[in-house]
Amino acid sequence: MKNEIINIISKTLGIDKKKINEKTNLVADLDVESLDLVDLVVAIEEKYQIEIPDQDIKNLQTVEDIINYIQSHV
Amino acid sequence: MYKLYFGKGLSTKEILKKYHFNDEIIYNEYGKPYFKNNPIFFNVSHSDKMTVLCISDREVGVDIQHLTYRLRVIDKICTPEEKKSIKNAQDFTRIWVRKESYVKMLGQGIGYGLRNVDTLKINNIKVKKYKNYYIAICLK
Repeated sequence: MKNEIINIISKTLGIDKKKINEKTNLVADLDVESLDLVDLVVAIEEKYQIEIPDQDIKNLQTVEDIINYIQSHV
Repeated sequence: MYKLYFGKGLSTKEILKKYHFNDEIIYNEYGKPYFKNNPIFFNVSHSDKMTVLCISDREVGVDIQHLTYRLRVIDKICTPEEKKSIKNAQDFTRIWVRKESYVKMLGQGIGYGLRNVDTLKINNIKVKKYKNYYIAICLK
C-alpha cells in the first residue's frame, strides 16, 4: 500500500516520488496547500472507496498517517 | 478594517517578521495563530509561492489561490447551489477562497466542514484579484 499511496501523491500533486517516503510530512516537507490536500483526499477516497470527513483531514499529516487511516477504514 | 501585505515564498513567521510584527505567537486548539500580547488579529495564506498576510482589528480569515479548476473536488467541497454556479476556473477559484477564508476566520479551518459553508449566502467576504491570484478576506 505504501507504494500505491506514494504514487497517488506523486500523480495528484505533481511531486517526484523520490521525495516521498513513509515519514514525509505533506505540509512541512512538501509544502502541500489546503486545496491540494483536499484534491489528494478525494483521489484517495476514489481509489479506496472510502469517505474521509473534513474533520479527519487535519490528522493526515504524513504518508504513514494516510496508510494507517486507510487500513482502519476500508 | 484590514490591511494586506504580500511576500514571495515566505512562511507565516517570515512574513510577520518582514513587516515588523514581532510579537510572540500562540495557537488555538485548531492551530490558528494569534499574537500573544497584541489585540490585533492576523491570518496568513500561501499559494504557488505567493504569501499574503492580513492584519485586522477583528477576527479575520484570508485565503489566496492561484487560478485553478479542480473538477474532482467540487462534490467534496460545494453545496448543490455552489456547484451549479461554477462555470469556469474563475468561479471555482472564487468559491474556494471564499470558503477557506470563512473557515479560517472561524478559527477551525477545513475541519469545520467545507460543504457546511454556503458561500453564496455569506456577505462578510471580500474577494480581490491580484495578477492570476484570487484573495478572499473574511471579517467577523
